Amino acid sequence: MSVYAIHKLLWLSEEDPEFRARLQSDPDEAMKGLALTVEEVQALKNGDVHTLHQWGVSNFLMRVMPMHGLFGMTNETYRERIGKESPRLQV
Amino acid sequence: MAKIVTAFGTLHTPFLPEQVSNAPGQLKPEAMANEVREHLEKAKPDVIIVFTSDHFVNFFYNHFPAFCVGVIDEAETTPETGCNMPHYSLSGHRKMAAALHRAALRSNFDLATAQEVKLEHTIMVPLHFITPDMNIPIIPIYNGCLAPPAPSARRCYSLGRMIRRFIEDWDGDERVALMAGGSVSLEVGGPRDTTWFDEPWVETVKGLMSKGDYQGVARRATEQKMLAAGNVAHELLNWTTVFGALDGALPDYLDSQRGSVFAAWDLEDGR
Repeated sequence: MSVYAIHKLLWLSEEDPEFRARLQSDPDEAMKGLALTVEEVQALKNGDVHTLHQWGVSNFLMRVMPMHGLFGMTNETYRERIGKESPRLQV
Repeated sequence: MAKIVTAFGTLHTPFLPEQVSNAPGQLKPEAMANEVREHLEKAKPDVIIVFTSDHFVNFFYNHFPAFCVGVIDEAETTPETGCNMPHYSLSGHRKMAAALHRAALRSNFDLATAQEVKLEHTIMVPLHFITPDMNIPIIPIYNGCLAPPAPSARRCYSLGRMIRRFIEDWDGDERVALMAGGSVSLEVGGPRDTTWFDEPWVETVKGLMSKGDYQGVARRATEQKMLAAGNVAHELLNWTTVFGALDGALPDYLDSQRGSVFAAWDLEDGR
């Protein structure tokens, strides 16, 4: 799993307001254009930032999820879910 | 012959301009930035070489250079969520930047180049406070520390030494300032809250800086050590690059606020 497509989604959601709006209003449709695996789509839709962190997704890019309310994420749920483990090197 | 007349470093917290705007004169980082600004204004530089880390504004994982120099005529700020400050335009110093690129390649530092850049908070927050008139051209030099693996601190130190030689050999008579932006210890979006910082590491770095032991910082700043100090603590690489260009000069101003260091060097006498 490269997580490149996850990084692309997170990056676009900050860089491209139009993509961000589509992701907020119809995430399934917005994600169709990216080469995400089934597992990646599910982790994103579940707001499972702990798993994303385990996979080595950039924490810095993940911060856009609560910032833009992606997949229903808030600052509180983000902090609850990411856990307390040591930081990991990104892939 | 050009010469380095000052160097300085600050944090680049994106929301600081708005915080200061809402509480002028009340926040320590504003006072520290004002202190740094006095040193810069005294030095009257003609150009600022800015060492910074791109925060996924100019680069992404499809092409993220270890080092890149901006060879630009001008550039503008780009909107970033959470960073509310005036829109700015800045001139670049294309001729000197292009020569620096050539000199770097000849010295076996394989810098990429960008002839168009967007100016992000990592550059513009420090300059918002330090050079609010935005009338000094810049040469931005990026490292890829937010997309690990990053260049080593010792490599960054060596790059700084090379850049000092370049400046001293440069035909022009520019008065050059060097800027380091970024934190020594900081976590953004990671398991540790942004209020957390590695105080012993910050004190270690500051202590070594106060003695001019910059190679000591570069030796200690391993990938593991910087990662333990936060997921964006590799921003210290911007500082270690500047350290390499200082020729051992002691800081004339040095202070810290949580995980961030503020410093200024008066180098007019060529120390």
